[in-house]
Amino acid sequence: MAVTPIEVFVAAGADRWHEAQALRAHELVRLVPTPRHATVLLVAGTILESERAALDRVHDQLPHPREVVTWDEIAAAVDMADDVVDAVAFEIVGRADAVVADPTTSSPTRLPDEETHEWRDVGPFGQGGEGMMGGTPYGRAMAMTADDRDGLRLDRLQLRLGPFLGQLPGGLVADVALQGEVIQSIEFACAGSAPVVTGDRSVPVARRLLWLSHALHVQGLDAFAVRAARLARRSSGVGDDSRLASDFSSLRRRLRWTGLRSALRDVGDRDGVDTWARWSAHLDAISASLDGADPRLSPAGGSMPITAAELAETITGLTLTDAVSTIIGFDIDVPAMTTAAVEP
Amino acid sequence: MNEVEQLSAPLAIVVVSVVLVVGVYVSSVVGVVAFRSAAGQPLRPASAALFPAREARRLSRQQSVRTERPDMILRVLAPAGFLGLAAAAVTVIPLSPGIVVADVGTGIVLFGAAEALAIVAIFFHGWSPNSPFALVAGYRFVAVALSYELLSMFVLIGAAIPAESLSIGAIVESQADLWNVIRQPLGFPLFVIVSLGVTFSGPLDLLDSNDLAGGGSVEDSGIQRLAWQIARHAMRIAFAACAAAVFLGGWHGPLLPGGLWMALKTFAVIALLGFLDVFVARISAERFVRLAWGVLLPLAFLDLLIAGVGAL
Repeated sequence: MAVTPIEVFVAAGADRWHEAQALRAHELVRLVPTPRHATVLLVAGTILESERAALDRVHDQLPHPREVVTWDEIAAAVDMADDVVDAVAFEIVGRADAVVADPTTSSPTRLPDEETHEWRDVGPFGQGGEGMMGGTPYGRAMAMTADDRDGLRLDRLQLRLGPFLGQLPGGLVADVALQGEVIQSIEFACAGSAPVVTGDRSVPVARRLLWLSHALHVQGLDAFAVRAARLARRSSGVGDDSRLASDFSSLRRRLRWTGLRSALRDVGDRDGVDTWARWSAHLDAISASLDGADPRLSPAGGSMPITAAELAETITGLTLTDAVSTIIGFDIDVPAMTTAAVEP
Repeated sequence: MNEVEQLSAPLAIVVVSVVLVVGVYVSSVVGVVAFRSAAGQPLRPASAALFPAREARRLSRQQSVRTERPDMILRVLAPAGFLGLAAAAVTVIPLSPGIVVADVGTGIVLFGAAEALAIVAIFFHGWSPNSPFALVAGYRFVAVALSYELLSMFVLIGAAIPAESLSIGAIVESQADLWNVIRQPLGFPLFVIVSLGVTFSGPLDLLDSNDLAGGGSVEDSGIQRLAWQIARHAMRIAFAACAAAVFLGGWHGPLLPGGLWMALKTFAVIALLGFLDVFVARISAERFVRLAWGVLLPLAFLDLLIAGVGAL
């Protein structure tokens, strides 16, 4: 039996990403922000063909001894009456204990240890650029100086974020250009013109609580994320739900003392609505649902749908931290985004 | 001032090691307890007490992954340097009346130097794995560090004024009648903010943070991760002990022996830092820099003014 929590990295397709957050409720499972910290890679939901290579790269980043657990296999095997999250947690603990006891069974490396792109290209130094600068050595654009927002010149670093990044919703892929910590440009790879849901009032309360759990994790409040995940489990019918509304109010009161409000106010402002206002709208909607009121009647705030292009516009010029907080604050419906991109 | 007993070199090494080992262990247990109480989980004191040992055993058996073209020297030097600086900072703090590992007359200068060099070690931690999130976290930390560093200098100098000495032992002596936490009420809270910054905790969790997929520690596994966590807790011990000595009257207190008072006060600050780490959300670096230069630095000036007027 495990005595310290098993560290798990979740690589979830867009369709199961929220559900997987429920694992935070389990004392013996700790969801970690990077695969390097994890013993178990949890693969959940539909992995698109375009995401397979990224999944293999994430897999190979786990240190030995490591193990892979697939949510959907377990979900298919359990009875209707049984709880999938409990079954997954049970499987994670069992498999992790086994692989730690016998490291020879550690999951083997999937990709060859070689460069995906050649260093060699055209030009005198082979990197493909002009003189000693520029080009895409090893397939990565060399960071070149460019004007920044403060009137200085600073290296511009191109990065692809996602689809399996701890701090962003599963399946979300974005190409960013960074100068220092500031986002100069961002483009959502799977976006197209898909409308992205933010404050749909028909969203079930359990999903909203799972959003809250992940969002708290990103803001550095992991312990409160555990509480939110437990409430989410209870709201979907696992365990006692008689005092759910009052327990949520108590969590909300505690959050008032964490400084979240001052951390999120004036961040990601769009049409006079900032990230804290969006959080408040989510929290109000949860309170309203738990009190039995029609959530559609709760005060609006960030309930407008936003397209990927509008989201990109909102976060351009923000620091990476604020951009992540802003994206999370919207509770983007990534499946809607991804499906729209796949079906032309 | 009491006769100061200068410890012999081997004894000094033993004392510093014991302080750090016990301190790091206690600090990580406090972290577990703080987390469980915030998460509403059962506290299970026995399991919490064993937690650091089990975690250390687990991480020491895990593979320490080598990243693509890391700066190997700095990768080793980052945790080693951070731990070494924490140890150096501990040496100038008097542990009980007359017992200090290194009785230097300029104790707070040495402490401040260790604190400033810690920024370099922390930057190495972000730089060395050759990974974008770690690099961003490292640079971001330096921006924040430059903003809190001045606060620390001002509040420590403020505490040195009534003692008329830069020796931490003398600063403790000067608090026999009135602790600095009351004489200079701004000093302690500002020093706590500095401590949160150096140990990247709670609101200033801007290095190894979840919004950057683990930030500076994004590539750390196994021993590498364990070493960094130990170094971070060691730095927390150094700052907690310094806060106890400089602001909370050090060994002064009724009934109990001085060494025990010092240990209790250090523990209280460790607990404060451990709980703030769990209970307070991260604020963005940009916001902190604004706050530090616009509000906290003027407050530090005021603290210095209070100390100066008090000394007249």
